[in-house]
Amino acid sequence: MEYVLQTNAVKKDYGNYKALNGLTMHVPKGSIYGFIGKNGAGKTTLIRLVCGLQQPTDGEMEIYGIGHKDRGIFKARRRMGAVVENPSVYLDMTAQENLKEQYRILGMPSFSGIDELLKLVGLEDTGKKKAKNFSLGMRQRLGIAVALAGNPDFLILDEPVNGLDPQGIVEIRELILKLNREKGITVLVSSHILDELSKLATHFGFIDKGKIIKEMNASALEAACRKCIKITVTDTKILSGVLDEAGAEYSVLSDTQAEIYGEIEITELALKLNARRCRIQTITEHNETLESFYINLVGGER
Amino acid sequence: MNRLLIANFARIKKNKPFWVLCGVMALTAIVMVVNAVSNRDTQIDGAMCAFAIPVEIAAAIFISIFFGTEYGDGTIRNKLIIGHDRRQIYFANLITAAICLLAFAAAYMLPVVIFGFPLVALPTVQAVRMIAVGILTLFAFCSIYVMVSMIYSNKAGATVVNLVVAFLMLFAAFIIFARLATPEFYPVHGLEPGEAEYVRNPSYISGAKRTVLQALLDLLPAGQAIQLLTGTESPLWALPLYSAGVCAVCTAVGAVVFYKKDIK
Repeated sequence: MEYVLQTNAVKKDYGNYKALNGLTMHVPKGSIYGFIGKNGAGKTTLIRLVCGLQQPTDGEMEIYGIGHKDRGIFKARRRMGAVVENPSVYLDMTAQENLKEQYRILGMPSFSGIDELLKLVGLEDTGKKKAKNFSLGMRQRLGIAVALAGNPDFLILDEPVNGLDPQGIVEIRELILKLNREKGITVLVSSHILDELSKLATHFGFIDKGKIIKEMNASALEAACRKCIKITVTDTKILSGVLDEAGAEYSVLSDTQAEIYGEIEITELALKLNARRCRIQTITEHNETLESFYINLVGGER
Repeated sequence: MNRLLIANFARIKKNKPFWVLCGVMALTAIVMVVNAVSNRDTQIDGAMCAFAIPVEIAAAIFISIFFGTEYGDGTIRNKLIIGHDRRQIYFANLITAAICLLAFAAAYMLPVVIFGFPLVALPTVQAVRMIAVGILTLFAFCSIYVMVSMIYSNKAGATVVNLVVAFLMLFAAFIIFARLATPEFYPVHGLEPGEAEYVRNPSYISGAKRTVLQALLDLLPAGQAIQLLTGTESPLWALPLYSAGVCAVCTAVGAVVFYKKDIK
């Protein structure tokens, strides 16, 4: 698999505080990588290192296969765009002026793509309004437009939906999906709003105390979090027979407990079990969310 | 680095504080010319050579605000994220600041040339030399303020530090200058009218102490700015050497610290 970003045992210390403690992660090309962790877990610190705002204390980091100490890293970063924490925009400039400034920094030969960019992020009608008068969502979208100015292949968004209203959250989500699907941009998006990430990410990295504790793709996570019915019966052998006949997917947990995945007709199941003298003692719907999955991973209390 | 310079100058073109400070420089020069005319001065040199002091203060304000905005709005990150080298960013900012200081100096000189030359007099050759030296003094101020602004990421904090540095330098330079200007002898009038005796001034600074204080005055850019007005005891060629030293040290310190700085 081709990776846009790989880190190997990256450490970052601020005095005695270890913000990153041997973090290893892999962001596959073309993915939307959801970087999940609670506040203070080290998400923003890693993003700062990837963006060259800070240097790691130890460990290796590769962007497009180029190590962070190589001279070529500056060239590799030209293929990147990022919004780190707050959007980086000049508040006393309009959306168009901000993009022109970024085009100059990038050394773009003309300003021809600016109107298209503004349209892409939905800021084409802001006219002479200065960024200081924008709403948080508009600033966030302008920040993304600035990050997209150099036509990057790799976009990093740090908590992009923080502080946004539900409408703004949906807009940012749709924009990320559009960029990934239509332009093939690899996106690394960090958030602590887990359900939001679960709606767009194709890969997940769970970070806790400065370390990645689990990396998995969306289908693996879906399998881990899928809906099931937890059933307690007098005999799981009889239950297995009935479920096999119905073609249901299930797993037996003990002589009396099993989990049934997918949709099942409960009345029919109850009648069939009753006919074979097997009684249902309890039945509960079990639905593990990304949130509870994460809490289980980091060993927190539910 | 060209791209960074082009981007900086595009910002300056629309930067209100820059144009306001240019206006303030021009107004200051007009006041100086009016003062020279009302005093019936026969030379314009004093009004011309005073430019370094107002530019020093304007530079402290402008450099702090202009580069502080990059930290305040977070836009310095845009330059780093897309792969600009930190040294290039530092030097692009230093060059931008130096050119802006030249613009402030030009804004000051323009009314002097337009009104001062016809109303008072043309400048002497020595005044022209002083101005050339003063340009290098401005670069020394510039290197100090850019160093502070690039190291200290708080816009308001950097503005306060730069203004305090600017006024402290001026204050220190005035004190040193006043002590060095103390005459070696002073007259004691005798009993007869017109009879005066010169006695040695115990406050006069001489020997190694005088050499050290003079070197300190030459080293301080504000000290140079005062000496451009009053004349200097040191040879004129020595002042640019001191300015070059200040520029080299401040730029080296600023660039190294900025290179290693953790940016949030």
